[in-house]
Amino acid sequence: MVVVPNLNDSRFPGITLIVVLGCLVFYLIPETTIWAVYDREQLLHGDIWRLFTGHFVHFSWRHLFFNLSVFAVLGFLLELRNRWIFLWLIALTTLSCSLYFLLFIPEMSKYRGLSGLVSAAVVYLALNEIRATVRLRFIWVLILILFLVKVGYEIFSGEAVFASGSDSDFIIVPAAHIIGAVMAAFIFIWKKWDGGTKY
Amino acid sequence: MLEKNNKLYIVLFTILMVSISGCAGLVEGKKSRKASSVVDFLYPNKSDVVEKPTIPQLTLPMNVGIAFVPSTSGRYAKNDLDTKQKMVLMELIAEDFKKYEFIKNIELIPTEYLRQAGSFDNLDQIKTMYGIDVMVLLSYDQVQYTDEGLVSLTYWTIVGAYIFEGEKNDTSTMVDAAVYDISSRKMLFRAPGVSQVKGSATFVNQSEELRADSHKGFELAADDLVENLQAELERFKKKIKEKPEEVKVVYSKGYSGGGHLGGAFTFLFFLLTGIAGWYGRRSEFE
Repeated sequence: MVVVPNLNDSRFPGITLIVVLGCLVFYLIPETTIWAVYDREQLLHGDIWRLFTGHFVHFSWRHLFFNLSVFAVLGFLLELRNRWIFLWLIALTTLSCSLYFLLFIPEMSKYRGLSGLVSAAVVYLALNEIRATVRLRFIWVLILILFLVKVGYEIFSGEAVFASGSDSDFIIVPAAHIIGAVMAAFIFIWKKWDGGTKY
Repeated sequence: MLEKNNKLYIVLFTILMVSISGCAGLVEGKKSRKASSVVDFLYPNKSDVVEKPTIPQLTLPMNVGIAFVPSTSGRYAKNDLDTKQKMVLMELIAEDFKKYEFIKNIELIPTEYLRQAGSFDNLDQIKTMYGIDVMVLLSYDQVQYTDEGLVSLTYWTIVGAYIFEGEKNDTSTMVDAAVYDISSRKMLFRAPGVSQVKGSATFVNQSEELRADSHKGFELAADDLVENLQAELERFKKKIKEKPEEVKVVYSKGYSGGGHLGGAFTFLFFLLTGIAGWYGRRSEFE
């Protein structure tokens, strides 16, 4: 089974492009960050869009680069296979992460970062490739294990493994990665029960 | 006749002495200094036993205070920085640190709120007044030398004193920032900023030029301080991660959270996906 889809397919990864451009705009024009960032106080005053846009805002270029580069590749791979599923993945993950923060992490006033969404995309792609691929299944299992090790370490140590760097002036929130993984697993299982084909 | 000669000799002798003292002024430069000291402020009584600091607990995001310690010459020293100058310099330094998510607020505290030799008791009072956890104590040492060059000989013409810049000024400035956790009495880190300003002036506008050089010296030293302070802050953040037993970090309500994959995971992901893609394509074409 091939990871990279047939490029003769006429689908254009428009959603991935919109997300990538949105992240770049929010980073390059700081004034837009104030409007878009997940801000608990502003959300409670009615700024509902922040439930979604908050995930597209980043703290630093390094934060942006690592999240966005992985998302761009995953988005390309997933959107060309099934655009609607990819859109559902984005909508459900961003909404559920933000609602979780709102309800269960009230002391966190602001949140930024695409990694919840990226986690969902990584897990969803890995699960599908593990199901479909025989020969290269071990690579996707390895990716899934790496992801689980990362999240497990974040939960039990309170620190981030792999996400080093002295420019991290924020607390890494493992819940975003877990919720992303859960949403990916949910959509994967739903598609399987629905009798749909892979992806 | 003899009396007239005596008077003439006295007048000539007086002129000669005045000239020699003027020449002495050509040889010997002038020096002025303004300084303050964090050590004198915090540990004024050398004979007192110094309290051992405890392990600092930093609650993020932090409220930070910044203030100049009182001058060692006394509050109303002739050449001390005035309050307005100090506030301008503090704003310059504070501006670069407001961007950090772990700093909630920066309070600029006037030096008048710090007593001469106020020590940690004074800082405790400031902590209560402003609600700050961490204090940035600024101190300075500025020395200004003035030497007269050959051009100053034109001052004898009187007009020359207004036109020719015979005064050479040299201003050396150091501004030091020491960051203290007030509760534990521990210094977290420190950084200096230095500058040197060379200038010249006429005899008439010398004091004006010296004031201008002094202001410029402090501004340049403050710019240097900001750079060094940022570098020391980064080193301190690394130190906290490497030795968490030395500084305890807790998070209060209002912190910022983020989702971050990190460089290593990104690299491994691309590596493994690339391998999967490469072998997947090869198996399709074989």
